[in-house]
Amino acid sequence: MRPLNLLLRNEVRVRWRELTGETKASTLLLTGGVIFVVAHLILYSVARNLRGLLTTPLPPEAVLLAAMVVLALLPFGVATGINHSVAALFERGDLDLLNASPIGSRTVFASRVLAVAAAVFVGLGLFLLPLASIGVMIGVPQLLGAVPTLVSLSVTSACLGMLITLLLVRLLGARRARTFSQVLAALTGLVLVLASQLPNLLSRRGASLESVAPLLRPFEPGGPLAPDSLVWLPFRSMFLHPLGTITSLALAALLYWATVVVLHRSFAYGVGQEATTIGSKRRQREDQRVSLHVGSARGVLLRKEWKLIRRDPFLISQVLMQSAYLLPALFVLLFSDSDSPFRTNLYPGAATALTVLGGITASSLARIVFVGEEAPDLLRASPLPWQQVQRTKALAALLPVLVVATPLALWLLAIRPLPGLAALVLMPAACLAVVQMRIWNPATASRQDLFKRRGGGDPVSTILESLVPVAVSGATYFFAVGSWWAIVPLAVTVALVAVAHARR
Amino acid sequence: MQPQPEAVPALELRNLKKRFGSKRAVDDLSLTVRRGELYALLGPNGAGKTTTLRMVAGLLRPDAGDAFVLGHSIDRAPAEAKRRLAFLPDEPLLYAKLNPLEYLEFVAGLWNVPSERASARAEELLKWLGLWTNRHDMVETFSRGMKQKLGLAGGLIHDPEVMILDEPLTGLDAAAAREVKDLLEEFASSGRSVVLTTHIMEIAERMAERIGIISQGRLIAEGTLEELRATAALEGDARQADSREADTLEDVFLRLVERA
Repeated sequence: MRPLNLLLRNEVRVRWRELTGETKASTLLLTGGVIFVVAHLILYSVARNLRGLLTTPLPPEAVLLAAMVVLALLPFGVATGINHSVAALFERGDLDLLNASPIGSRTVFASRVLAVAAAVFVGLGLFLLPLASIGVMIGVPQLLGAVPTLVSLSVTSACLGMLITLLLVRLLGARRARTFSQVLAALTGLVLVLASQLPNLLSRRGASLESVAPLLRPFEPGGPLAPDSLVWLPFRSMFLHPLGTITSLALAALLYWATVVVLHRSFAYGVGQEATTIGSKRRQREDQRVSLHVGSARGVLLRKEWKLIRRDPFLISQVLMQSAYLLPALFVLLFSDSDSPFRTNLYPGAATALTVLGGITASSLARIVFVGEEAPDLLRASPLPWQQVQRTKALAALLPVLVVATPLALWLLAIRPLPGLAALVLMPAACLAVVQMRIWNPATASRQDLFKRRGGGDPVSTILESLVPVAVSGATYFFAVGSWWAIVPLAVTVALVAVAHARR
Repeated sequence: MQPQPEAVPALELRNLKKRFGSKRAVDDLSLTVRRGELYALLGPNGAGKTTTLRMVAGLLRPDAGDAFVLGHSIDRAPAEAKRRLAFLPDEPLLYAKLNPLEYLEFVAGLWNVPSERASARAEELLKWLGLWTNRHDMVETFSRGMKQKLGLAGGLIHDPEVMILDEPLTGLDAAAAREVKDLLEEFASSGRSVVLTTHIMEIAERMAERIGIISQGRLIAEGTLEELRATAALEGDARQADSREADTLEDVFLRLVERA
């Protein structure tokens, strides 16, 4: 078997095992199938509307639309590319084996980039491929152009993802690059989610195209970015334009070739070297005296927990991400001003947000301090009673949240008593509940896997734990607007906690 | 009542039992380790050595029986027992994002060692183990041997009276292994006790005063090398008696385990 084929087969097999290791294959296929069908349903009307637009020659609107779609998907593709490049460089752990083999580093790297491109293809394909199949079904074969476009987009994203990751390794060192690229990938996803809310918000605020008119001038006929400009030629591949398709595929192939030729040495030697020299780059302090400040056992345990979190930007980013994905929903809640309920909703909304964000952050921190404990045997072998260890760890998860959120709740109390009181009582309650539920659901996982499925322990208890902040925030909202409905989410919370207690 | 300082053994296991499902990991195990003694616990893979040590360290609760560290029951007075004990598993108990000084500060805190004493001891241990120049480096950058040494420093920071070590020489280079062996011998010669498990027979043969051999969770033989040779010969074929003097611990061990 040729080396590239062998490596590609191996890449596909390993990736499949990684995926099915986290999620059952049947669940994975079912989820993919559902997304695929839903995408068909959504894109059906889009494809029907495009039917009238796809004349020969292609009208300017169609070209710009194709460019918009591709450029909107590109960040998502690059983020996926970065994620998979990070996995290929740092997590798979087979680089030494491959680089020590007689297979050339260029072939190894070429297969890695193709594997990353395949991963991007699957991710973006769920959204783009339905367009092609609908096109065939409704008699618009030009939409088959989505397939070559997807190929070009995947290869381009993989190359850019690998380039960014290797550049970060060169600039920041392997470990920081890994963290940075993971945060970058997650942030790109977040920005896309927030961007998806933008049209909604702009329309509510009465913004119109007039306000962005200067930005559109280069796109007018005769401008540098006019629809008939050569700049847009590759994007015409979306509608199976022959020259556009050839250009798009050729550019992607050229980028792939250049990436492999230019970067394969950095890939083979740079990453390994960076990984082994991290320690030696650390600045050495010259103090010769040792002065340890031991203090109480609880004190050193608290300090240890916070120090370990503070030193792991990846974990901090993951904690923030858990909350950040709620921002769009909170945005809608806070700024849902049909007439003027903005003022009505703002303070109860803020109290609700405080509760849900506090609860989720406490839950994430509890997961880090309990599940992510690297040396549980050291703590168990110490004279410190285990219950005291657990109480101290709970405190380590609760204190940072309470220190930040309580002053906000007090400020709310000062300006709006009822929402303030709701936040002041129910936010700590949510935090306490999730931390206690985490104590009932013991698990161990490496810190890298903490926020993956396998890092959660009992899956049912983990789901219950994640529902508690939502339920308590519901109670906060109703309490803040003075509604007796608060009892319902409170009862739900009690039920969730009771089930978690029963499952411990 | 407080145990008498000199009368009680360093470590005493009384009828320890532990099951994992249907498998008997430790089956009615009793043994005694004297003060100032270096005791090696040998056994084939899955014999129950690690389970025994984990019960002694208070990491696993026995199904029956008890372990006493200088007379303090690990079940009924765990804090008293653990205060006198250091447990070092084959995988050192470390934190990737702490440096050696911070790690030792943390461990000293858990064992309630005063700051001044902990500082002096940390400096002494890090210099002695060759980690002084790396004292500000994160543990995640350490080699396996360096991690093993730091784990050892953590075990010694509170000046334990009994050390139990599970495969202490795993991953150490020749020089580091020699240092650790010297340390353990010095530790035992100062009147404190060491219990270790190892697969390297030469280590047990050279270092241990007494050796316990366990198989399928049971203690099948115990004593000095001479006593074990005698046991193996007594239980064996009379024709082998002539060669028993020349038997290495490995020969004795394999013969005893085979018969068990």
